Amino acid sequence: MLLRLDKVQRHFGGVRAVDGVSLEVEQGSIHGLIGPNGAGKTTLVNVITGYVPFQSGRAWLESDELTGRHAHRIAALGVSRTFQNIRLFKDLTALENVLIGMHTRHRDDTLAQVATLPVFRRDQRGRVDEARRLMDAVGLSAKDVSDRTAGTLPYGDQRRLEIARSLALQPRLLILDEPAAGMNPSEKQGIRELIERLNADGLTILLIDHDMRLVMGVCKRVAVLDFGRKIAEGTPTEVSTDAGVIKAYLGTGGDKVVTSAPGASGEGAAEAVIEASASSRPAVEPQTAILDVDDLTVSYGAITAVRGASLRVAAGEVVALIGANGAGKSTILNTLSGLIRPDAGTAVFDGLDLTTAKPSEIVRRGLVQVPEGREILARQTVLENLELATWGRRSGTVTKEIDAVIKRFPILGERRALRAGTLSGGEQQMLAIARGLLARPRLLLLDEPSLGLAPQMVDEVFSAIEDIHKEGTTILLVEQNALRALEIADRGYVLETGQVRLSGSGDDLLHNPAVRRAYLGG
Amino acid sequence: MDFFIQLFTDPVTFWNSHTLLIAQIGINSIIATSMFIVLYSGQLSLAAPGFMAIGAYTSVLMDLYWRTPLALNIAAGVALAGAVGVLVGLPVLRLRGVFLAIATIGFIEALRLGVILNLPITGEGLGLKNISADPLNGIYLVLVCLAVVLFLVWRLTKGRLGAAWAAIRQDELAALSQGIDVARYKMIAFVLSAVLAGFGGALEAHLQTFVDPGDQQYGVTRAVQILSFAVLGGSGHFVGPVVGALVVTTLPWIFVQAQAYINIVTGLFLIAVIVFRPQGIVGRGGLAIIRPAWWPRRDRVRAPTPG
Repeated sequence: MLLRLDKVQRHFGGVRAVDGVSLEVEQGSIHGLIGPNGAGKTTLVNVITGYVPFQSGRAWLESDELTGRHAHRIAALGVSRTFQNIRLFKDLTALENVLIGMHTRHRDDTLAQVATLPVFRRDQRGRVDEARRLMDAVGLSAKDVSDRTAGTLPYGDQRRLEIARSLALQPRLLILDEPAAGMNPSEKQGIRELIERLNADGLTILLIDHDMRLVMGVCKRVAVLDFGRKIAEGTPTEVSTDAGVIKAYLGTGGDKVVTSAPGASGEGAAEAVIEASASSRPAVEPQTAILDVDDLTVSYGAITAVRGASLRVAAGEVVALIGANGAGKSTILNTLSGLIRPDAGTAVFDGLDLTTAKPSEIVRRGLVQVPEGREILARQTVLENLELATWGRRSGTVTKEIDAVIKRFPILGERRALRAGTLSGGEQQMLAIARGLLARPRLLLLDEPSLGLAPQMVDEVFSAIEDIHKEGTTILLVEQNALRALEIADRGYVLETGQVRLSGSGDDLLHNPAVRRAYLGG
Repeated sequence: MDFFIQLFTDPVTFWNSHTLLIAQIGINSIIATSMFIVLYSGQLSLAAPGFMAIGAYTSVLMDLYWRTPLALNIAAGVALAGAVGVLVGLPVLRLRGVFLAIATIGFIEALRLGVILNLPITGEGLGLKNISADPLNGIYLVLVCLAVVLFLVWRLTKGRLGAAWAAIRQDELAALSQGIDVARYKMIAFVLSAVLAGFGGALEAHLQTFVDPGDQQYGVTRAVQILSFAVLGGSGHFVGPVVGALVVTTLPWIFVQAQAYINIVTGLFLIAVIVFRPQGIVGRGGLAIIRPAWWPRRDRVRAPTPG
């Protein structure tokens, strides 16, 4: 065993980010680590690499104990990593970035430097040669890239450069944290080939990624985390058909049993998937839509998050927008709210062009977003949070409106004088929704309302959403908990890598095995 | 304009009539280099005036009481500044950004108001007479020292140490992941910066007949002036702060007529640089900015091209 973890634990306040994870990574293997958003994958990596101290539990790299060591010592032992959000030395050249990766193998040359001894020049030349070889090895052309400032390289090249820098350490274990995030399919294929080639040369790799095709394709074994615990481990096939894993990714449909989850049957699933996706009827798009999104393309710099997505919402509907992490769901909502501007496509809400209107104007027209992660003001009281939502309105009606909202969420009334940050996750979500309602929405955008909530809290949030809908508010719901969302939705859209892969009525999608594929690959 | 006319038409007279200015530029350049080292390693430390005071008072007091030779006095001042640098660095280097700046301001003010203005030996705020000051001939010593300091800092930024500093400045977490002992390299930079500031302070005292414990000399005002060297010149290359020191020190001599408003002139100049060239006058390229097109480029060790 190269890497061995024994009941590693790390809590942040009340959040059990990593809760007793044991894991063994075999020498020379590619080991996958997956799990839904917030499962604790990155925290686990941060603990292994010494960024975050161990709370309890121990870890070894072969016979070297990692527990309690400083991050730089762990790196020197041969654990190298890349970062989810690329962390290159942006203002240095690509060559300098890779040279810094050799820090631990490079003896101190301060005296030779000061004396300007020729010995230094020879050493340096050898290192430069090696750095160029590493750049070539990860598929960068050293000749073109060496002298360019790292921050100016295209996104895919930055990912590759970060891998080259990690390799410069001559690691025994390479941890790749979402190396394919934000890449298009052909770039992803390139990264996949790179990972396989590095492994063929004998490097052990721990791979974290949301792209299940990549993880399932290259890993021999995969471990699945959920709420900080390891819920499954095995070969890719074992894991992708495990009922617990499907539940973690797709959520549960309330009272329905998990075994009814699409495609959970395992054997023969592949054929069923193909059949079902062929037979899946195109959605019955509403004729008169209150929201009409057509061919929307949105990117962040070099990363294209949404590629030509189209969807419509009619007044009075609940529409679910589902898909795995990184599929582009939140980006679409943020674009509709005017927070991000699209590259191409149109988005019209009740005659208002959302691609150019000011965010404040969009809210005034009645398109209101309840953002992911709630974004409440933690240091203000519950009541102050609610009052802020009525900003700019005459005070006469405001008290009445707040009273009405508190009647709907009685828990907020009980907690009105408490600081919002002291509320539980579910209560905070209620507060965020209540704040959204006070903006008098005609179309309410809900972004991951069940994120990180315990199951009974999820039930409460969803029943609140159903009530709001019954009173006449149109809802566009973004959820990772796909089964739950589809259950209350009239219609749904399944998003995969920024494109709408499937659409149909809620029931239709609920029983479509292709939905599972969008989440878990296959 | 008289300033430039004289500089270009009659450099000898210029040198003779501006000795004090040139010496002060040299001193400020050494202090600016001290500032450069902390900024280059990503630490916004404003502690330099404190270490200058330590270097200056140590050296002058040794001369006053023990009549020891100048070289020994300066060496003692430098050593004490370095030692205090370690003691101050241990707690404050846990801080980053403006918090580090505030903590180091706390250090210089505590030293000046708390210690220097209260100890009988330092003159309790009345200042200290420096009987063996040599304002006129000191210039040669200053210029030689500056040349040595610049050479050392240039070489240090080129090697493993400089690479580690640059990595830490860009991204501490990523530097850790490359096995760089961030705390240790930050401490090295902080102490080296203290040593250089102590050196500059001791040299400066040697040029002045009177050691003045005022705010302009060892307080926040001086700290801000030193920071302005780096902002103006740029902190990505060691030449930057030196150019900044040159400009800031010379401006009052160029705009002699505007003497009363010189702070406004300097301020406007600073704003103009920040707006139009935020990386500073020199930026990251160093001397490349004044290198003529025909000069061969040889600033980086290059591998022989394959094939």
